[in-house]
Amino acid sequence: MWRPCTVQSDAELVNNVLGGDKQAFGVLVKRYERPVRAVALDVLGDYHLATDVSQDAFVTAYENLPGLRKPVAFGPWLMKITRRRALDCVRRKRDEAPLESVVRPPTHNPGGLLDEEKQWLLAAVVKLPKGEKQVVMLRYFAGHSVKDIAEIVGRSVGNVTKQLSRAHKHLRNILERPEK
Amino acid sequence: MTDKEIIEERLEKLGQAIGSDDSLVENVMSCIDAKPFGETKRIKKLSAKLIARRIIMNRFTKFAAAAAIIVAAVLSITILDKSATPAYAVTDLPELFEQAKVIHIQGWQYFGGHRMPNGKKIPPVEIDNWIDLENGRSRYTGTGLSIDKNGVRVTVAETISDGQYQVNLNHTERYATFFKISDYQQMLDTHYRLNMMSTEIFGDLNQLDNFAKVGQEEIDGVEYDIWEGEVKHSVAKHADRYKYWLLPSTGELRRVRAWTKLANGQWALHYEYHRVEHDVELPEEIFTMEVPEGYELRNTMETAILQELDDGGSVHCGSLTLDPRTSFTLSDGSVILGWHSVDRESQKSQAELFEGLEFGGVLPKLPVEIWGLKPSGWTGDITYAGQHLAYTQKGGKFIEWSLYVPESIPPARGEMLGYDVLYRFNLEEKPKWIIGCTLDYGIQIKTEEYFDKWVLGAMAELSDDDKAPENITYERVLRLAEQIRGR
Repeated sequence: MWRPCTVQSDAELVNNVLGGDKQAFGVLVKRYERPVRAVALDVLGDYHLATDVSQDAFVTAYENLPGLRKPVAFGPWLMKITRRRALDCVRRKRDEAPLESVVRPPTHNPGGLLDEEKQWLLAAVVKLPKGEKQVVMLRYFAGHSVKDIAEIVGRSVGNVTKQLSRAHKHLRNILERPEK
Repeated sequence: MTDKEIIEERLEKLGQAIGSDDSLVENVMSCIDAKPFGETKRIKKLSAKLIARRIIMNRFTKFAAAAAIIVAAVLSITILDKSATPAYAVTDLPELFEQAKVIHIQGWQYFGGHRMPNGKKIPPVEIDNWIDLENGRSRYTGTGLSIDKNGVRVTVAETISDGQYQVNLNHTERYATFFKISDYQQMLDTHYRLNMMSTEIFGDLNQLDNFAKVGQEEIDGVEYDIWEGEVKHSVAKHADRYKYWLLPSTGELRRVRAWTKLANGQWALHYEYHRVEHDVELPEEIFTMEVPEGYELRNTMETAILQELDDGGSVHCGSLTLDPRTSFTLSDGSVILGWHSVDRESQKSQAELFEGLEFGGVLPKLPVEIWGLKPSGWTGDITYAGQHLAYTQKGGKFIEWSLYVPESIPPARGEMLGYDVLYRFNLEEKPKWIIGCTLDYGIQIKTEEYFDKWVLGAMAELSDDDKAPENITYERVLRLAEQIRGR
């Protein structure tokens, strides 16, 4: 069937990679670079560590790609790998740290990259339900249009719009509440 | 600007702040250029590690481990897939189960031995439980039985936790209640549920040694080992029979069926979980808190009840309150309990009761003092005497953290229901009330990491400054328990 859109879905790209087209993985890396960094940054609060973890997460995803049962679920699966990698990094750091500093997780934002308001917003985005989180990150962090996102995640434009609107509502609720 | 526009603008600014790294694609591509795809899925990599550990730890095979490793290096794939001898120890199953990051259990709970007031059989309850341990999220169905002379009434309740909020859906009475609990409590809750699930499925760990492999069966094109065994409970004086379907290469549980022995000696099917899954992809919006239509809303997410860490076992007698907050059982059987007691008629501050207390010394003389514990439902007799560890303050309340050390070898986890509280009144006029208060077994603290996460986490949770007392460490507490046992 002829399709006017040039954006390939995650599922198509994953299948291409599995078929031997390594360059297709480069498209996925470019697509998810900012969402992955956002997840890593939320856990680690350190730009440099987040960059290292992002790279590690993409390589891990590539190695484990044949184990991904649903290619359409590539995005959420990648986020999960990233979060795990970031938490591993926290654990490693904690093990290396002196005893008195092990009880608390590392202080967020040591390099002053994200101000408090942005950290809070990022934490809220990361806590969104899986589907909403993916579309929010693709829309606002990676800068894709709603139409492109629909192609990427293999859903209808209406469905993506609905998820974005639900995410806005969730975020509004979270942001309106006083901070803990 | 509309609310939506404000949120969008803030998200876009956040996206810009997160930034990008031009070299990332290049770095990743150069890393993967030399790499083939992984041979197998992650679960198999983990399994190989576990199997190796089991071979070395098993008392029958450890002396042959060195030779086995050499052979395994050459023939590992053949051995894992073709050997008639299982590559796992059935006694390791609970540990394997509890290591999962995501657990899904689907099936039915039956009530074979009971009848409804109208004499009819109680219909089975569908169970579809999910636990996401890393993010403190869960969806869990529980059943409660109330028995009277007319028969048995079953209450079905479901709790959904999204990592921030929790909704309790009472499907029998058709109402919903929202709670807001801290990140720590959500994590504690999911681990506690996993512990409960593990205890329910594996019964008494000490009796797993008696289980035997009875055959094989194919499920969805995969061959599974079938194991069967009986567990006798000294607590309730009854027995359960279990049947497990296990993946031969790893011991991963795929299906479980359990029967309970009725008073007439017959076996009644208790539950059947036809799908047990570890570390699977979580379905879309499984933890979304939607209230079914027609349910009474006791409150909303906006008016959710803010819950403090509490085990729900507080006792109120007149003006007195005894409030056990949370308990943990250490690997040596000692128990750490955070508790609080107050006499609402007393105008005195409790500060002076905590002055001069020492680590390992006497407990504060609170109005109702938990001086000791006893295993609940156990047939033997053993007392756990209490010593002071530390205290914290939260919202004007003093929380005492005590260590209770068993005077001799304590019963195993599967042999008791929890702990009965032993108390005394520190009042001029002793009330005539009798307080019945029991505690959960709590999460078992096996490592320093667990201690830091759960025990110190609880202390910080019940502290105004969100900090645990500085002098409390795993090693120090275990050393104190050892000293007390040696006295």
